[in-house]
Amino acid sequence: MTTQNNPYDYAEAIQYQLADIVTPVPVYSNFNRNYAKQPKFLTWQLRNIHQDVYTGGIQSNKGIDTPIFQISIFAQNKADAFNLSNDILQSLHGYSGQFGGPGGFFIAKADVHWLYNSYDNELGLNQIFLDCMIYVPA
Amino acid sequence: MAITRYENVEINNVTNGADSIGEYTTTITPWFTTRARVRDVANSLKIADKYRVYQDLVNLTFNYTPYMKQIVDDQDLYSITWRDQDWRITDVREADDRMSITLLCYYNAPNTPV
Repeated sequence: MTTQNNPYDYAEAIQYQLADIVTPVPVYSNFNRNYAKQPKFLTWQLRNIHQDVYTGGIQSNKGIDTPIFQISIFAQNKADAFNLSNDILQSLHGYSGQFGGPGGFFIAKADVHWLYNSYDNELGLNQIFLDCMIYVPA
Repeated sequence: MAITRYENVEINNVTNGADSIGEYTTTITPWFTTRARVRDVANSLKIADKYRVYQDLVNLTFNYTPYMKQIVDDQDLYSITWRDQDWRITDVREADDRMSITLLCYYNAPNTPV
């Protein structure tokens, strides 16, 4: 029997966890408009919050929640971008335990996919994208 | 004879950060109150078929002080409250004799605090 977690709680936990990993590099969920003065930063986007549902009349008859958040790393210096992605991989991939600090929740596992690196010519920033799926027993 | 107007303005510190869900935040905290020579108040409105953008400009001239030099060096970290609006600094002109500093300040609506 499970309940659906509030996406707001996921957002708070992701923000806390990422900021904790890469501090003092700033972390945002939308874009950093002050990127001229902050040459490296992270953004994240949450998607695919979904618990499997089973047949029957009981709404709480659901499986484990598996939301995915994409992490976008921005940095003027390409080496900074790669090293930041490594910090996240080392800290998050395969992690099991409390997620999002004291106000967060337990996750059974975090699974990180390092997707690809890129360069935005208009912004003049290197980018690296990662996907992280977390397994949340509710 | 030219008229010179001096008006009270408040200088604020601007801090950028993120809230608990990662939304970009701009926080303004008052730093000090002073008087500025106000010139060339210019309000303009750009009308398109789907939106209206107000862009207001004003020239504020201050005495050259260490605090003002600090503002010149990092203009993005300061804002000015004048006529109850939050004005941001775009252009800065230091007088060659280092007696005054003129700030060209803008206020726009819809507002996007940077």
